Amino acid sequence: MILLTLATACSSPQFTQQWLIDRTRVLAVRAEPPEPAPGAVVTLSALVVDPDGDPEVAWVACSLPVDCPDYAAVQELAAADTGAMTSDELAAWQADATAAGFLGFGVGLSPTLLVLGAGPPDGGPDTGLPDTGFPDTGSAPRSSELTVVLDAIPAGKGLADVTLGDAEATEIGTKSISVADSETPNQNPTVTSLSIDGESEATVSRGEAVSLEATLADGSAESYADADGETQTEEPTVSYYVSGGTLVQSIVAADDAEVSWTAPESSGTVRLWAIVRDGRGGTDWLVETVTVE
Amino acid sequence: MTGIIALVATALAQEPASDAPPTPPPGEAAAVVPPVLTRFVEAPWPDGAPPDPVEVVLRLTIDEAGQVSQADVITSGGPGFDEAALAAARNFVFTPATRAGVPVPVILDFSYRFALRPADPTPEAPPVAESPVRLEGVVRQMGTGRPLADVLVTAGSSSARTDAEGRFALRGLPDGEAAVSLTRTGFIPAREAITLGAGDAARVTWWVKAQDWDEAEVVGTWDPPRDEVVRYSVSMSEVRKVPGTFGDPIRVVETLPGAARPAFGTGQLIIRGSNPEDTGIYVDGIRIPRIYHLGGYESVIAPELIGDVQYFPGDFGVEYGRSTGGVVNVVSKAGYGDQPRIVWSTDFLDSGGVFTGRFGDHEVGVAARRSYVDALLSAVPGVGSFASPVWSDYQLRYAWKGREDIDFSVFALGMWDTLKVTLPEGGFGQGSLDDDGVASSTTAHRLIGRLAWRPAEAWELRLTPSVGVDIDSSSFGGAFASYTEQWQGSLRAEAGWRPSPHVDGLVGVDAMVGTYDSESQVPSGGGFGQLGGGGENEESDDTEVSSTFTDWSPALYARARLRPLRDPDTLVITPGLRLETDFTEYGNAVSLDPRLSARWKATKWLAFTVGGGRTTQAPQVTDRTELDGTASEVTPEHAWSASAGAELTPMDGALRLTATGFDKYMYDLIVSGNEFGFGEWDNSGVGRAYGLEAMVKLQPIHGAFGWVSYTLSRSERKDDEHDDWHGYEYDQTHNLVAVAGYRLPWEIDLGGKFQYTTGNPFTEQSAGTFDTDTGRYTPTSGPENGARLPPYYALDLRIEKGFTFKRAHLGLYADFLNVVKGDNPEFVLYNYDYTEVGYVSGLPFIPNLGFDLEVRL
Repeated sequence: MILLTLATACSSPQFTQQWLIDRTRVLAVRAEPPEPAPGAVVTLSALVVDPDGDPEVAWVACSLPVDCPDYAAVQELAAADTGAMTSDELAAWQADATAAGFLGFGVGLSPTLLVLGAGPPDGGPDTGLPDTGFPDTGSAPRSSELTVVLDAIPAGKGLADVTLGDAEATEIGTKSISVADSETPNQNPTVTSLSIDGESEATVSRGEAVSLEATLADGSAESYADADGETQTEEPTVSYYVSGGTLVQSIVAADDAEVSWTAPESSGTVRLWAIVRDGRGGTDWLVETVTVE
Repeated sequence: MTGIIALVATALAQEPASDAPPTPPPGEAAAVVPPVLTRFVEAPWPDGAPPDPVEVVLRLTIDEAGQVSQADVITSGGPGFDEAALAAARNFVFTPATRAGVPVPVILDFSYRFALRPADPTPEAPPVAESPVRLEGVVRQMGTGRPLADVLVTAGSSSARTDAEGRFALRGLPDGEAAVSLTRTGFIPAREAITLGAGDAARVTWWVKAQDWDEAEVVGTWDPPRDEVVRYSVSMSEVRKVPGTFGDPIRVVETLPGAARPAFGTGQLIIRGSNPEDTGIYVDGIRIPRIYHLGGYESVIAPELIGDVQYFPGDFGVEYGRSTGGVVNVVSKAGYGDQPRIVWSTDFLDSGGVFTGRFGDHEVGVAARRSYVDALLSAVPGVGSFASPVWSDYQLRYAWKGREDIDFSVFALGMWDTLKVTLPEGGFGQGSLDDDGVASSTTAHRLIGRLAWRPAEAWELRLTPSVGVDIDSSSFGGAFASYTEQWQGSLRAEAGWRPSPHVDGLVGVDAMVGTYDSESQVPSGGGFGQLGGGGENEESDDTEVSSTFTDWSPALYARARLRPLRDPDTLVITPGLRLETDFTEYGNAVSLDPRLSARWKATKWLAFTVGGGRTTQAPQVTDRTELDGTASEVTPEHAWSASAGAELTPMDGALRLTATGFDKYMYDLIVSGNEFGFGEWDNSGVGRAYGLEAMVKLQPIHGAFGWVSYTLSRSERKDDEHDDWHGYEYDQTHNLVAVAGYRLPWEIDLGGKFQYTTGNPFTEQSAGTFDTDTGRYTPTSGPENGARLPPYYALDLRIEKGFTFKRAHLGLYADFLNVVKGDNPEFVLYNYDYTEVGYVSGLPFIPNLGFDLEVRL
């Protein structure tokens, strides 16, 4: 054990740091509300970043956590746009896919609606979703878990250039949503500010070390009853990401969220992200831009 | 610490398999008291031979009566000399070697030196006895201060030999300057000058130095009649010189066949493809929880208190049980000699002292050690700030030697180890919430009593009671904490009977009772966090699990040893039975394990062995409880094993070659049914291990020793009968270890060790998906243990320089680890999203300096 630690310190491989945004990344997915009741309308939004431009994003929602999306068919459906299947074929595919837990599919980064049906036969309210939205998900059972899987396709490539579900080719993010009839459903926390050395906007010198601190709105750490009925209080965490420079620490408890960041040695703009998670599916984020001179 | 006896150059004594008493039980030291030459016969100088000194090395077999029953030339001194030395040696008389007070036959190497005296006094010379004594004194051995018998003291035409008290007297010397020479085989010739005044009788004390500074009491390779199919042994004087083992006899087990290379810092004994916890570790036949301190560098017992390390890679006798792997039994040293001594050892890791002595009928040994590697580590930038290991141990041994037919001893030993590791921020490539770090501590104490009584020649009764406590605690960040306290009492009672040279038997009880209390605090999700690919552990609602149970496991065993042929040693068949039981509040289990071994000595230099049987192992404490604190319903694990081998001892035993094939099927293995590998226990696992072990060993002679161990093996597991076999995590196809040592003049010893091992299997992970709820990547796993690390190889070197003082000996040594080495990856690490792979490499080049100081009081 001594030597394990010794060697870990002395000869650990040098990896790229997870807090440095140097490629397409899915950083967070927010569901509003985070803990919906059956029949609710859930608005999903994703934080997907790419240093080279805007990535394309494909979404699949499933009612089973594992192996649900039939990626090949989904991709075919999405890429073909029209004419890939006859309406009968489409209906048959949708029936099979639904039986396999498929809830819906969408493309795009903008807030997307997921409608949880109250149950068959009427399938819930008709929201008249755009093509990029999820269709009515039909029957979401009470107290179930839904899984949303995002494939972020690196900028410069399109849906047709990659195989969805291939973690080597796309950046895959997953999000679980608990559907429950709770009297006090979980709420998303709120990040109110991301300050740099205490300032809301800042210009820093090259190589300068400054502090970053995300502040949460009051009430972001909720109290809730755990599985044993005991009252617990959330302990939210803040994860920081940067597009340049060096972070000494990147994941910290939200009640002591100050970290040190050293600006890069070259001038330019650097983007900073602070993502808060409440540990129960609730999340929020803030993005800031810093000028390095 | 000298050559065994007068005129013996090499401290090699070996009991031939014939006519030996029953195998000592696990608790009994197998130390042999070496023979002492009582009648030396001078060989005539061969006619016409040149007057230069000549040495002939003989191998003598000395029977129970102390007579030389066989003599062979090992190193020739030339025509004429060999014959003369053989003829003389056949008329030597020794006091017989004894073990446990019983005379036993031994083999030893004897160096016969021929040297012409300056002027040989003839018997018809004037009766010098009537001349006055001009010079008298005592000759002592350097280092020990012991009086030396049989030293030839020569001055001019006068000469005398020292008596048993080392005294001599020379007569008839003229006044004035006298040049005196002191010679004895095995010792460096000394010259002294003295001026004799008119009519004076001068009194002197002179010191001579042994050519070899060696362990006196610990007899080297030792080969008793055996129940087990294979047992490898190495002498203490060899152990001391193996680089990288820090002179620790127990560490040498790692260089023997059947033992896989453990990951550094773990010190695990992975024997014949078994789990580390499946190998039983004993002190004098009593189980102890661990044999190595933190880091696996040093064992928990001072080397000076170890008499023998018995290593059985498998198919061991019925005295041992509760293990499906191998057995390592550390036998405490019995017989400290009449000279009290203190040994102090210091190196970069720790320091310790040992005292041994005999006072009348009472023998006392005391040892203690403490590490300070934590203080040294703190001086290393970037290391000491987070790693802080501390270990210490003690041993106390008392033995009463008042009666020949009774052995009585009490041995107390204990250890404390603590380790605190503060995880560096981002040290695993990730951010981390855990600034509490990792902490663990282990404390263990044992008190072992031993009483052996031989009421009649054919009978021996042995009783070994013990009590002990083991306390373990550990915590991992704020996420996981556990505390375990185990109190154990055990009693071993045996009766051995040997009615004839052709039959002997043994029956025994090996009973253990223990209470186990454990408490642990685990995250409610059961997730222990991953070091790679994540690093965030935000679970906070912990679950506390506690369990208490009592375990009562008396085992009964019996075995016979049959020697049906006229020469009792030609064929030895040992059938045995062991009834293994395990009674707890959680359930009861009883198994009857048959074992059988046989050994056939086909010729003087070729023997075949075969053995097999079943072994049973009760569930580990951790396997008895589920995560929610309820009792798991697991039953003991079992294994059937068989092995067969051949042993060649050509060149009169100077070389020893063994080859053994083994096959083992393990079933009812306890496996976890969940992804964390902890909890949801059941007995659905099975395993198999098979392979070939070979060893070539040069018996230590003239300061040279060495061996090569090679193991070719495969060990596989499956969690369920219906799964596919997958490699065991320590499966090492090839494991080659070569050890060699050589003694140069000027008390310089060189040693080297080379090891080559196939890399361990691991489960390959590839690019993961990002769980936006936890902020952690989940990898895609390849086949279980479907990939392998690159091979390991390393060369270690050691050099020691000895300094012998009148009553002290100082050994200064430098151990150089990894003088030559590969990348030697030990663990695989991934970056945060499992797209980059890296290794935690083995140790870098490490020089370790130290000294051993031995003082005779």
